[in-house]
Amino acid sequence: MDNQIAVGLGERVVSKDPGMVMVAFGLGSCLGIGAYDPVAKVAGLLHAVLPARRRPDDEEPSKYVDSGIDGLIEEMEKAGADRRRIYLRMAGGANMLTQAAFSKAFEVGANNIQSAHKTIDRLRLRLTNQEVGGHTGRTVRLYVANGRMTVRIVGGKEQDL
Amino acid sequence: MKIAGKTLSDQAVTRLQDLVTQGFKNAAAGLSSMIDQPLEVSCPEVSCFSLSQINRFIGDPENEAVGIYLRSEGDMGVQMMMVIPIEKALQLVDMLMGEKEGTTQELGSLERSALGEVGNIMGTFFLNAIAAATGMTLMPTPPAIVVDMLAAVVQLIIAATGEEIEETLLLTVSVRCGERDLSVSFWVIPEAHLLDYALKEPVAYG
Repeated sequence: MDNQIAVGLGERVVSKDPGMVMVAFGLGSCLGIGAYDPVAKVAGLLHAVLPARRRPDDEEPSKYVDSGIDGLIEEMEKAGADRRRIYLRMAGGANMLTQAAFSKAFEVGANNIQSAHKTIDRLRLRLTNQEVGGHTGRTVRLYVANGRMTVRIVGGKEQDL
Repeated sequence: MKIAGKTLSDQAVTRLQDLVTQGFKNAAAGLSSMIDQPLEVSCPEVSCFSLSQINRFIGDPENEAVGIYLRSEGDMGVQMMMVIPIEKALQLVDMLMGEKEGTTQELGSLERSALGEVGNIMGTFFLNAIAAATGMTLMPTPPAIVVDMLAAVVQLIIAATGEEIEETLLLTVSVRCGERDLSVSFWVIPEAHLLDYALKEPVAYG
């Protein structure tokens, strides 16, 4: 029986426990960013809420995409991962509302995606797959044992990412 | 209770609760006349939380739910969201359309527009009561309907406020129709002006 651990909004989890499955439920505009080192078998999942940290002293770096990815990679390296081997996948960043009256207020999803690409480029990391944008909520799972990452939408089955 | 650097006394919280209760009673009266059945509204629960803790206020985050979202424009920004589990939303549509319970099986455009009307009625009645009590001008936007995982639905609030506000005040009530719990939760997320109103010394009328 796998040990499933929920990664809440603004949280990250890093682990080498092969029995662990990390899960971020119902990502709407939030981004779920999964990182894996296939040699050290270290996995990390970030559930970021907003695009960019504004104050460097903010005590919740995982809340933001930019500082969240920084923190995720650092913690994985402390656990034995090598950033040259780490690859990333991400899902989320949806715009849950399509109505024109709200569209401007709901650019957070798109801004989160943009911030992730910027940060990944800055850190020279590899993004191997993504399922982002659109208007649907998603649950993502990351299996520590083999780095499998899945996405599920409401009423759907887990699909490999 | 502290929010956005301001301390809310018990008295201020009560004042806010009273104000929102008036709003909800008025909103329930609006919905009640729409479905032609009496409704009861619970006393609002007031909580203060950081936006990233939003999942603590909901049930199973993967459950399918309907969110009816609207906000006010005018003197004050208030976000309102009704969150209804999908099966209860289908029942509510049956009530709205005068159908036997169990008739509606899915939410097509007609059903969504009926739920949108619920948002319209409740939002307008709610804001009217708040406007009357505070003297502010408040106009609701058209409602938006989202059907998705519960967690994704409530993230709408974060998408709308998250960039500016880290902490927020959440007022929730539940609605009953006789013995039946409609399982509708109403979330009201006021901006600072409403807090200012709550912090002001009460004026004695009459």
